[in-house]
Amino acid sequence: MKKEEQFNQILSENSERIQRICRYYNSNAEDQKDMYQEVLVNIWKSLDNFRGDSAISTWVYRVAVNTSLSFTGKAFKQMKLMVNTDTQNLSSIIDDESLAEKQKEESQFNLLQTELNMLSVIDKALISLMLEGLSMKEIADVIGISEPNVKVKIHRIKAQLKTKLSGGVTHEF
Amino acid sequence: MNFKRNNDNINLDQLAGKLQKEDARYARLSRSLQIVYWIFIPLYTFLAISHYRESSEIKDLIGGLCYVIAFFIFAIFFGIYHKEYKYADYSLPTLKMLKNAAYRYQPVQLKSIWPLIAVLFMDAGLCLNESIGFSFLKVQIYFLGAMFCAVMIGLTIWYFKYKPLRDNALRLIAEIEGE
Repeated sequence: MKKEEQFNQILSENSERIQRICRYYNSNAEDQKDMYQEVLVNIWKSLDNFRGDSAISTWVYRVAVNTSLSFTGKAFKQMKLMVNTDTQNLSSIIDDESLAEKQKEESQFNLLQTELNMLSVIDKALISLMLEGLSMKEIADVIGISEPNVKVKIHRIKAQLKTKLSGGVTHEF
Repeated sequence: MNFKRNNDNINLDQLAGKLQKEDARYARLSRSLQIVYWIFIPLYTFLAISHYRESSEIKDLIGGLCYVIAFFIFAIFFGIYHKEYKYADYSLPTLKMLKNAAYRYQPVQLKSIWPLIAVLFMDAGLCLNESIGFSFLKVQIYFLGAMFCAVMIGLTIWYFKYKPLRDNALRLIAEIEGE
C-alpha cells in the first residue's frame, strides 16, 4: 500500500479519536484545529516507522499524546485539559457514589475542571487516555512505562482529585 | 511545517500532497549535500596526486590525503546524521520519545568524535601543505582559532534554542519515571 493510501486509511479510521484528544488539550476551536493538523503531520512523518507491533489505535494515541507534549502552539504551563460533562468515561475518575452524584452539579464539575487543569502535563496525558477508555495496559503501551506504574499513578491522581473535591478530606479507597 | 486550512476543514488531499513535496524537498537537499562531499573526495585525491608529481614532496601527498580523509569522514558522518535526524519519531512510547529528544539535544555526543577527527585531519593537511606558506604555529592559531569560534557560536545557539527543549524533556522524563 502506498504511503498516501495508508495515511488516508489511518485518518478515516481514527479521525474522531484524534479530534477528541485535541479537544482535551484545547478549549479554543482554532487551537484544536492547529493541533489536529500537527498530529496529522506527525502521523505522516512517523508512518515509515509503523511496524504493526501495536494496534493502530495505540499507535495513533502515541502520536497524538506525544504531539500534545511538544505542541509548539502552546507553552506547557498554559496547557489545559478540557473535559465535557458528557465525556463518556468521566465517572471513571470519580468512582465514588456520593461524589459521582455531586459531580453532576455544575459547581462540582467546575471544580473538577479546575483541578484537572492543575495536574502536571503527564498526569493530564494519563487522564486523557483514561477518559478515552483505554485499559491500563494500553495506557502503559502509549506512555512507555509498566502497567503497575500506570495503576499507581492513576490511583494517586484519583486520590488527589477526590481529596480536593471533598474539601481536603482524604478518602482511602 | 505549516499548512493552510481550507476554511474550517483540513483538505486532506492537499495536506498529503504538501507532505509528499516536503519529503521530496528534504530528500533532494540531503542528496545535494552528499553529492558535494563525494565530488570533493576524488577532486582532492586528484589534486594531491598531481601536486605530489610536480613537487615530489611526500609531505604534499600526505597533506592532500589528510584533506581527502577529512572529507570522507564528513561525508559518512553527515549521511548517517541526516538519516537519523530526518524526523523525530512521534509514534514511539512517550518515555522513549522524550529520552531520544534529551539525547538529541545534548550539546556533546559520543559520535561528535568523528567530526573532531575530521577537523584534526584538516589541521594536519594544512600543516603539511607548504604551498599556503604558513608556519605550523600560524596554522594552529588561525585554523584552531576559527574552529574554537565555530564551537562557541554553536554552543550559544544550543544554549538559547535547544537547551530549553532538553530541560523540558528531562523534566518530563523525571516526572514519568518518578514515584
